[in-house]
This record gives sequence, C-alpha cells and structure tokens, in this order.
Amino acid sequence: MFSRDQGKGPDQVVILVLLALFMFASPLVRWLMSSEHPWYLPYLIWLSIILLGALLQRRRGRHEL
Amino acid sequence: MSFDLPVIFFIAFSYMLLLFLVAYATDQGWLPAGIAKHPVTFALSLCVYATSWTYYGSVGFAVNQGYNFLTIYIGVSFAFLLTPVLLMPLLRLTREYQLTSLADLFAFRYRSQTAGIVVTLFMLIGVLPYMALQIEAVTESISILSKETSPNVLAFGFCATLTLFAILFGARHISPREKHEGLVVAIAFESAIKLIALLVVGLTALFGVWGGFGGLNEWLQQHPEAVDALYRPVTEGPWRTLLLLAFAAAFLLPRQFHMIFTENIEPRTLSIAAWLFPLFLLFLNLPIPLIMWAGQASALDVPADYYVLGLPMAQDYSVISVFAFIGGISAASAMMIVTTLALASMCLNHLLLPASFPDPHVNLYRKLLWGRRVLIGLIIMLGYGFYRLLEHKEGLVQLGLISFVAVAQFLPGIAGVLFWRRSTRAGFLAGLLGGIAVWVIVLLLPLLQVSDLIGYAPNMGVLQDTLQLDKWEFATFATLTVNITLFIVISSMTRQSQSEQEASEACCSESLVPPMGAVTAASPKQFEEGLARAVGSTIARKEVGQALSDLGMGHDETRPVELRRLREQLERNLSGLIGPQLAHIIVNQRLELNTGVQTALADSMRYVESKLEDSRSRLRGLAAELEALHRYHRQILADLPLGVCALGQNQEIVIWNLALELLSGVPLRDAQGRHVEELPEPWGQVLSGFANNEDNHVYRHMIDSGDKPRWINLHKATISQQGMALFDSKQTLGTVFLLEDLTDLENLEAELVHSERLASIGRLAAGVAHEVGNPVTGIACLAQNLRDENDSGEVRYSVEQILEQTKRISNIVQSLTTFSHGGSESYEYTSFSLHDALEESVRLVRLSHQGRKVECGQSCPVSLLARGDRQRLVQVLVNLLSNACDASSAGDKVEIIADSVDGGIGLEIYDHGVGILEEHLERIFEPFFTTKPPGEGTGLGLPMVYKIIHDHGGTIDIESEVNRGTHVRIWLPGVEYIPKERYAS
Repeated sequence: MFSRDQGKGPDQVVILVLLALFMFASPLVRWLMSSEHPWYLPYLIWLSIILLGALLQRRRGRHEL
Repeated sequence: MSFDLPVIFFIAFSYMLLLFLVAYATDQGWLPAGIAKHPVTFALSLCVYATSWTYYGSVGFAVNQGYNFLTIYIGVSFAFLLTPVLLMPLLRLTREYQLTSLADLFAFRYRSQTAGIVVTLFMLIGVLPYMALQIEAVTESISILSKETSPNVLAFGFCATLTLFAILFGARHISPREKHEGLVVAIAFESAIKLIALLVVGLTALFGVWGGFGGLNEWLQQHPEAVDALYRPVTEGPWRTLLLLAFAAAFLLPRQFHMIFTENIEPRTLSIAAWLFPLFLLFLNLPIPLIMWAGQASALDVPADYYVLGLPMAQDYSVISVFAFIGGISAASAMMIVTTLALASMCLNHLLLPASFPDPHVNLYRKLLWGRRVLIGLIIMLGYGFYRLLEHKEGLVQLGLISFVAVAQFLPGIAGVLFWRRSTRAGFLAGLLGGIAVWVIVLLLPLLQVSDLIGYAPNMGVLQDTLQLDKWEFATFATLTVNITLFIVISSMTRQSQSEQEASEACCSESLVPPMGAVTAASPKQFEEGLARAVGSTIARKEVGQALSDLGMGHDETRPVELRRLREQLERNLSGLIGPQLAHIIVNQRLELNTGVQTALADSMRYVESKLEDSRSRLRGLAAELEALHRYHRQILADLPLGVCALGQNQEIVIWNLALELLSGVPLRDAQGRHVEELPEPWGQVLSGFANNEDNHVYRHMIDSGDKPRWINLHKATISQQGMALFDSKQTLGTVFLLEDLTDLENLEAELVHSERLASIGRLAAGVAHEVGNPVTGIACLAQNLRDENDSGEVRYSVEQILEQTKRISNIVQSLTTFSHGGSESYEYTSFSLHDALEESVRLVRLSHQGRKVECGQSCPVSLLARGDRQRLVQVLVNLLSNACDASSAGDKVEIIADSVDGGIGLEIYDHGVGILEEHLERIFEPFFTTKPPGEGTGLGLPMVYKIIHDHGGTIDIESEVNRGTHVRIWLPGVEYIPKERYAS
C-alpha cells in the first residue's frame, strides 16, 4: 500500500533537467564547445539526454500502470 | 540546372493535393483508426515547430552563429523533459476546462476578457513576421529552383491553397473542442516529408561532395577552421538566451500550443512525445553542418539560407532537388495552417464574440463556424500583406527570433497559472503590457524601419553596448525584466477577485474547498430555459444534452449535487465553444447560484476524492502517506461484507458501499447525493424510518423487496465531529447505518424447523405404527383362523374383507415404519449404472395401469455411475415417475434427463400434466399431505423421496405450473464413469 517508489518520477525528471542544464547552460559549455572535440559531440550529449529521458519515461510508465 | 515555373507550380499543387488526400482519407476512416492516436504520429505532428526557419534557415544560422543554431532545438528538449511538471499539468487544465488556446488559458486563469484580448492581439502581431517568413521562404525557394524572380501570384496562390486546406480540415467542426484527426495526420505526414527530405539532402552532401565519411574527415582535417567556425560562436554568442527563448517557444507558440494541447487526441502520447519529439528534432538538425560544409566546399552561388535547395541542384540531382523543394513547402505550409487555426480560434473567442455576441435567435453554431472560416482567410491574408510590406533585408532567423521573444513574454503568466496562486489579473496585464512595449521599441520598430515602413526607430545600441549584450540577449533581458518586475510588484500590491481566486486554485490543483452554493434551476429542463435566453433554445437544448451525456446523467436528474456538476460541465463545454470568459459570464447570469446553501457533505467528499484521484501521483511525503491511508480505509468500507450507509446532516447519502449495492440492488451512482427518502422502495421508507427512529438497533426486520422477503438487522450511530475539522460544522456530521443481511440465516433456520417437524412426525409415526401394528397382526391371525375353521360362504366373504383391510393397514404401518426408521446408517452405498436404474424404474412404473398410458423417455449417458443406495434411489425414481404418470393424461410424455453436473449427478423429470397449485407446492414434502382421494395415497411418497435424497446429501427442487406440467430437479453428490474398457465390453 505505502509504496517507497511513489513520486520518484518527477524527482528524477528534475535531476535530469539539472544535468541537462549542467551540460548545456553552465560554464562547462566553454570547455565542451571546443574545436578540439569532434564536430558531432553536441549531438552525442543531446542524444544521451534524450535517451535518459526516454528511459525515465519508460520506468514512470511502468509504475503508472 | 533549373525548372520552369509551371512545372514548379504543378509539383507544389500536386503535393498540396496529396496533403488534402491524406487528411481526407483519415477523416473518412480509410486509414486505420490507430494512426491518428499513435505516439509517433503525435510526436511527428509536434515537428510543426520546425518551419522554413529550420529547414532552410538553420544552415544560414549555422554559417553566422555556428552551433548556436542548436539552441533553438535543445531549448525545446528542456521544455519536453519537464513534461510531468510543466506540460502535463497544462494538458490536464486545457482538457478539463476545454481551453483551446493560450488566450483561453490566461482569460480563464485571470478571469479577464482584457487578458484574452491583449494576448490575442499580441500573438497576432508577434506571429505575423513569422508567417511572412514562411511565405518568403517558399517564394525564394521557387526563385532558386527556377532561377528567375518568383511572381507574387505564386505566393498568393500558396496562401489561397493553405486557406482552403485550413478551412476544410481545420474548421470542420463547430467547436474547436472536437479533434481534427485528418489535420493531425496531415501535419505528421508533412513533418515526415521534411525530415526525410533533409536527411536525403544531408546524405547527398556527404556522398555527393566527399564520397562518404572518409572524405569528410579528410576535408575537415584540411580545413580545421570549419569545425572551429561551428564551436567558436557558442562562447561568444547568445547561447543561454536562445535556449530560454526556445524553451518558451516549445509550448507557447500558437502552433505548438494548438498541437500539444488542443489537438491532442490521446493524453498518454504526450509522455512518449516528451522524448520522441526531441529525437526527431535531433535528426532534423544532424545534416545541417554537413550541408553547410558541402555548400562551402562547393562554393554554391545561393545564399547559405538556401543551401538545402542549392546543393542537390548544383550536383544535378533533379529528383532530390524537387524533393528538397517539397520538404520546404511542407515546413512552411504546416506552420501556416496550424498557426492560422490557433489564431483564428483566439480571435473568434477574444475579439469577435466579445465585440458582437449574436442574438439568441441567430444560430450560434453556424455563426461560430463561419466566423472561424472567415478569420482563417483573413489571418493568412494578413500574413501575406505583411510579407509584401516587409523589405526582405532581414534573414529568416531574424524574423523567427522576433516572434520567439514575443512569445517569451507569456512565461511569467504561465508561472502564475501553474505555480504562483497569488498572482493577479492586474499584475499579469501590467507585466505583459510592459513586456510588449519594450518588445515593440527594441525589436518591432527597428524591423519596420529597416523595411522603410516608418522613418524613425529608437536606437538601443548605446544601452546594449553598456550592458555588453548582443541584440537578442538585450531584447530578451529588457522585455522579461520589465515584464517580470511589473508582474511581481503589481500582483503583490493588488488582490484577487473571488472568481479569480477560484480559477487560480483550480489551476494550481491545490484547492480542497468544494464549490459553494446550489443552482437555482431545479432540473435540466430549467437549465435549458435559462440558457436559451442567451444562446437560443436549439443550442441550449443541444448543450444541456451534451453535458448530461458527458456526465452520464438523465434528463430527470433533480439532485442538487448533480445539478451543480451539470452547471460546471456546461460552463466547460461552452468554454470550448465560445471561450472561458464568455462562458463564465453566460453561465453566471443565466444559471444563477444560491450561495447561501451549504455544500452537501456528499458533494464535498466527492470533490475531495476526485481532487485526490487527480493529484495522487503528485503528492509527496506525509500527504502521500495520508492519501494511501485514506484509500485503505475507503477500501475497507467498500469491501466490508455488511451494508454501510452514511447520511450527511441533511440526510443525503454520502457513503453507500458495495455490500449495500448488492443487498438493495441500488447502484452507488443512483444513491450517492440523494436524500434518503428518495431511494427506491422499500429502501427509502426503511432507512428514513430508521434514521428518524429513536432506537439504535432494529433486529430481524422483514423487507418485502419483490420476489422474496428479506430479513435484516439495522444498527446506527451518530458521526461525531471530533477530529473532522475539514468539514466545518458545529453540529453532528450525520448518521452511519450498518445493515446485516439475515436472509440466508433465516432460511436456514426455517429449514431446520422443517426438518425437526419431519423428525417429530417420524417419531410419532413409529410409535403409532408399533401400537397399531400389534393389534392388526392379532386381528389378521384371528381372521385367518376364522376363515380356516368356517366354511360358510357369507362368513368367509366377511373374513376375506377383514383380511384385505388388515393388509391395507399393514401396508400403511409398513410405510410408516420405513419412513421413520429409514436412517442413513441403514443405507448400502454402491456405485451403480444410473441408466440401468432408470430403465428399471420405468419398467416398474409401466406395470401400473396409469403407467402404461403414458410415454416415458429417458436420456442418460450409459457410462454414468451414481453413488448411493440403489434400491432406495430406484424407490425415489418410481415414486416420482408414478406421480408424473398420475398427473398426466393418456398419450402425454414424461421425460427424464440425467447427466453429470457440478461434480454430481443432475436428474430432471418433466411432465406435461395438471401441475400442482402454488399453495400445495409449499407443503408437498410434508408427511400425510396428499391431494389424492382418500385411500389412493398415503401422503408419504414425496416426504420419503425428500428424506432419501437428503440422506444422500443431495437436493430436490420442484417447480410446477397448473395445467402446464411439473419439473423436478434432483442433484446427487458423487459421479463416476464406467472405465472405457468395461464400457466397450
């Protein structure tokens, strides 16, 4: 009855958004967006965040069922 | 390589025709129904976000601003990552209150028609440059493809076709609350086309220019400045500002709001689109650097904004060039169509209707439909006019970003809708107007000046340089700073009105205070009459009917609680039709509330329960645990095997559990909220009588509930207010009833009494048989002696008569003895063939005179074995068959059917005889009860049958209808089958 998992979904979403902000909107951007890195690096980071979002959505979907 | 203008026109026209066909096929149901509701379709339809700006302009943006172009899509990903806390609550709100646009949302939240008007006008002005951008992109792409100046008539033709499409597939229904599946599928189709086209152009760049990844890497090594040109502007440009603008645009642009919320067919698809849509955006942007480098490497002679088209043309790929052109048409047309639909709905609800609400005699539906269609045409033509007016000196990206800064002005308002309950109408309007003023000064006037439409525009260069911000950073910072400051300050200085407070609580989903007051209209009929004065009788009838059907209510509904719900539903439905503010005004005026009436406890409970249900997933910590505890207690009440009914202070039913539903046959939805006296009889009388009775317990109360009487125990207790502060009251909170169903127990007791009576009769019969048997034996002996010793004919005849009569007495005594001593301990249990036993019984019955006249037919599997005392059971069958034959006329048929049933043997005997009277039916198992003439029956046959069956652990049941026949049903436990080999032999 009293599930320990309840409410984890939105918490994890906030953590993911914070991670995305850290990757894309923090001073880290200066280092990431350097021509020493391959041209497709921003796409890779973006894709990882999307995939993490998909993973969270799947887990949340399972809990909601 | 170039194409003739007529060919281009033909291609564009054919593509638009295909688009019409896709939408038409969906609306007609030619495509599978699941397509429109599929998450992939929904996610693709959201790609309407990617317009000509993305399709053509991204390359130009990347050339000037490097990877800054990605911010426009990464920002969207941020907004969609926040789906559970941002988009889902908005979707819930828009669906629940039928809000079809951003202007509806703000007008509803801030209870202000002015808010709706300001948002609509600003949205219109803010989006016009964006629409002009689409037309410009299409005409420019035609110029590049044909290598000659595109005539304006083509741009006009494009706009006219879009108008036709938007009217046919986006304004088919009277109300925007109805979804347009054809439109959704067509927009998804357009997105798929532009995605594939862009990927194909990307592959053309990769393999056509460099021959693959190897060639690309080699070229990049030779030109390290190419990668550097992508990365460098990120650290210098407005990266974070653009992320913020894209975040806002992701759901606040009219087309995005329309596709995410208004045309959302299946809410669950939004969770999947939360990652699938950003994934599509990623794929859309993946080819951009490749196309840019390929264009630079090939030294294309077209502007970078149109490399997507110029690259395949330069390589003489005519098919790919046409495909790229179609992709561009897709991007532009989808944006124009959806934006126009969204703006038309806003203009109708917030400009046209408030200015001239039709007379009740005018058909509102028709006026709305045609109003929307005319507005669609007007808005597209406005976009066209803006395109013609603008001097095309600004790039595609510049025009798009002006719109992005405009929609970002709604961000503070959205924060007020979802999170800041305290924010007020005045604060929102002040903030928005302040933001708009700065936007006009900083962005719009310079745009108009560049186009030579005005002579002077203020120069913000000095301020911008002082703050060391670029144009977009400065515009975003200045507009939002003024907007947010005014929003917070004015909201803090002003107070919300009552209706605004209610709306803000509804938006924040935190209110647990149920709506107060009762509707003065006392029936749906009176609702129709009230509403007819505002919208006409036909519309009023249809809308009330629709609201009743939405709530699953009947036209005879009179419960105040339900009528209050009906009023709310009507307001929501009207909101979907004419906008929230007008709907609110009409409902308030025509369906007045008596606020003096206290909210019924049932209403409060239902309200709180539904709120808890809605917000369960969002509860945290103690609230979540309390909610779980509440559900546990509620489940206990629901599953309790006793009937539970709680009455509120006004004797309205608050709780009605499952056991009581089963006991009374009255479902919860019919009982809850109803006054106890209004329950169907006999329950209304019983419960209201008990509620007003001084006794707290009533035992063995008999209720005549139709076919069979029921017995119940009733208990009641007063609900004290201790610890129930939620429901503000100084009196008791009502009464709770417990109803204990005793019917089964009562029946069991009756059966026991019956058995005891039979047993006592048996004991009596045994005694009588013993006492009568001895003298009769003596009389028979003496009579035999007299017969043997006397030859006189007369005496001999008399003695024969005496012997005959004593024989009859002996038979009766023997029957009595058998009946009374026939205990189960004397039974010999064996397994025997039921088929054979039936055959034997039929044979025995046929020996009698009556048995010969009746036709006996039996149906019993040969392999079926019954378990019991064969002789006794044959006796049972003979008795029953004899009775059936006696009741039947000559030539009638008696049928016997036997088979295995529920782990035992089911045996049925049908006759078509005279039947048994109902009053006799109840007594047929009583000893000595007979309807036969004296001397023909002892009245012990059926009691004997009953006893034998009962001793075998079986059941017997007799149904009969006078002059139709009798049906006997016997069930005996235990069933076996003859093993196959024995059966075969």
